[in-house]
Parts: sequence; C-alpha cells; structure tokens
Amino acid sequence: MNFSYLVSIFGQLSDGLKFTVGLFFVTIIFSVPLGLVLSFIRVGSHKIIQRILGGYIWLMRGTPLILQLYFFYYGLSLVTSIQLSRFNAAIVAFILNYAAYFCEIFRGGLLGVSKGQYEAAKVLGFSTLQTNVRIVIPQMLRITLPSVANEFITLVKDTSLITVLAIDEILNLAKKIVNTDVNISAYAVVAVYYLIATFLLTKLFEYLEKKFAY
Amino acid sequence: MVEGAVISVRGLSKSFGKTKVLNNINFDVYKGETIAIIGPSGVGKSTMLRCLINLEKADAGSILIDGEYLVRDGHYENERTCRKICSQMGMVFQSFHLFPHLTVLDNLIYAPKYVNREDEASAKKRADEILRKVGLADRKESMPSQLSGGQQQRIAIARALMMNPEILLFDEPTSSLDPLLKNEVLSVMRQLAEEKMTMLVVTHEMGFAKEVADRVLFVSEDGIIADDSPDKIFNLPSNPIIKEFICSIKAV
Repeated sequence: MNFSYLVSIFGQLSDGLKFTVGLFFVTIIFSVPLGLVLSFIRVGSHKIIQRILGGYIWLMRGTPLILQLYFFYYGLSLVTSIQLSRFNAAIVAFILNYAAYFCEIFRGGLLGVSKGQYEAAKVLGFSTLQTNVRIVIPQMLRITLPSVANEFITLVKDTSLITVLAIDEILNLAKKIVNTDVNISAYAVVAVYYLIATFLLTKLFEYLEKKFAY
Repeated sequence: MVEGAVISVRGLSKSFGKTKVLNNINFDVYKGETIAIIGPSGVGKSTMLRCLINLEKADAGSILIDGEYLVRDGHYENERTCRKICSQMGMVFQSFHLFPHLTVLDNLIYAPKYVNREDEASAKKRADEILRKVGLADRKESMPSQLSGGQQQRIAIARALMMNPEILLFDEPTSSLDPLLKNEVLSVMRQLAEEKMTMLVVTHEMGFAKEVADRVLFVSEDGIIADDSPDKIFNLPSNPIIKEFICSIKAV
C-alpha cells in the first residue's frame, strides 16, 4: 500500500459524491421547510390533524430508516402502481424521515419562545403571520441551531444507508474497491470524506451560532 | 357611558375556569390622567389591564376605548376591528418582553416599519429622539441581553412610544427591578405623566401612586372598592381593607 494508491481511491470515490452530496442537499432543501410547516401544525389545536401528524412522526421515528428505504423502493410498488427509481425512493424516504425529526426539533423550539413575545408582538399590532416570521421563527431557529446541526451531521452519515439499494454512493464504491483489490484501505479513505464533510458543517454551525447569538 | 372619557369600563367580568377574577368592574379614564391601580396580589389588577388591550377576553361587560366598543355586553368586535381599536394603546410588561434577537434600534423600529409601513429613515429618526428621551441614545446598537433590567424596561417604554399611543398601560413595570433601577424607570414614567400622556399603571410603588397619580383605583376581591385622589386614599382611607393594606405597606 502506498500513498498514490490512496490518492487514486480518493479520486475513484469522488464518482459517488453526486449521490451522497445530492441526497444530502435534496433532503435538507425539502425536509427543513416541511418540518417547519409541520411543527406549526403540531403546536396548533386541530385535533384530527394532530392525530394524523402524531401517527406520521411515530411511524418515521419508530422504524429504521433502512426499512423505510426498502419500503419506498420494493414495497410501494406492491401496494400502489408507483415504482420509484432507486435514487428517487431514497430521496422520498430521507425527506419524510428527516422532516419528522425536524418537525419535533422545531416544535421544541417553538415551545421555547415565551408567551410574552407573542403578547408584546400583539400589543404592537403585528399580525399572526408577521409575529411568526419576524419574531417567533428567528428565535426558534436560534434555539434549535445546535439540534439542527446534530441532524445535519447525522444526515451526512445516513446517506451511506442507500448502499442497501445498490446505489453507487461513496461507501458502496469503497466496498466494491475493497472487494476488487482485496485491500481495506478504501474504507479509511471513505472515512476521510465523511470527516471532511462533518468538519465543514461543524465549522459552519459554529459560525452561525456565533453570528446569531443574543 | 361617560362623556369625554377615553376609557369606559362597565360591568366587566372575567373568570378563569371556575375562579371568578373580575366581577362587575366599572371605571372611567379621562384624557391626560395618570391612574394608579393598587391593591393586594391576586385580585385581578393585571387581568383588568390585559382585558383593556385584548390580551384577555372579558366574559361580560363593556369596554369603550376612545368612543369605540372593544367589547359590548360581552360581545367582541371582529379581530381586525379589535386590533384597530387597541392600536391606540401601548403596553409595558413586568418582564419587559423585548425581542431578544433584535438590537435596541430594531426593537423600536420593527412595529412602525412592518405594522404601520413607515419608511425606515423616518422611523430611525424618531427612534433617536425617543431613545434620547429615555436616556439611552448611546445604546441603540446593543442587544437587549446586554442591558440592565432598568434599561430594558426603558427600551420597552420607548418601543411602545414609537407607535404614538394615546394611552399607555403599565403592568407592574418596576416589580422585577431592584430599587436603584426602579427609579430610572419611574422617572421616565413621571416625565410622561407631566407631558399628559394617559396612563394606567398597575403598581406596588406607593410612592409613585401617591406623588404622580391623579387618581388611584384600589382593587380588592370585591372589585374596585375605592376610586379617589391619592391624598384621600393614602391619608384618609375609609375602608378597613384599604386601611390595613396601607398600614402594612407603611410598616415595611
């Protein structure tokens, strides 16, 4: 084993980045806003919608993400006529799963904004929408920033789960290289990829926490 | 309803569950008056004030604000009309409730800018003037958490003033402050009283009630049991409950 071998693996693994990075960003872009909307519904008072939402969150948090991947790729076509591609099935499972977690994180954040903030906004004449957008959500995001950072970092590593759908993301590629070369150093190289990504995210969130400190 | 009153309250009643908090409250407030609302804890003084600005819904009775019914015989106007009526009033809370994620300046200009659609430059200019008035012109870039309690409360008053209210409601504005910080807030309130701002102040500051208020409402479990000049209430209390309350405070 030599250095140039490791560098060549590093290059080969980059072919899988489009799946890993793509899944990460698509999941974030859709699950964060979805979780935000759901969190407002969750703290609302509509009984039936509450029940449905509670059931959804229970299902998503109560079963392994791998099982959800199996369901959206293999299971969905058995109960409906929809057959998703491997990557689309992964995207759907990840968005729905992560939205459930974000919903709960944001719900916690909303409960952390004091009643006095709503009252102060009301006596100043803010509408409900203005109160939420200008006063409540900024504070809620600040409160939840550490938990959101945690989810982002977990998501980086969870992207590797789509290996089970035989998608060539970086871990799956590493596995193939290991099998072909009969040499496990590809696993060390793939770890470097995850470490770089989580390092960057950690720094990003450290910056955000500092910037939005109050 | 009484001619010329900016606030008229008749038969105001309110319960929380089975606990009756307000029972048949009646009073009037005239323009430019400073009213101190005093009495033992837990008799609904704050609730009464909160009903005036629609933070609590009355169960029965009427509230007339500057000639318009906020609630008439227990029936409220629609939410939009209520908001319009209440926009003539500002409120200052015991625990300030500044927006912690905004600078002092943004705390002041947000409502004029987003609620009244005032342009930012003019709101900023007014904010400067009002900050000078409360003695905090140099703190406009501070975050609320960097200010003392007294400073925060003065900012809260400034924030309310930015909306040009006809009437200011104070809900125990100095109760969470130490004596030194109380004074800086009370002196701002005294200044407002001199400028003939109409103010209703729920307070335990008997000194303020005595010196600054034009009228004192004494609230007990039976409702408003006295509505008189501070001199009469403090020096010649007729009712034994008031006498006991005043004596217990003097003893401290």
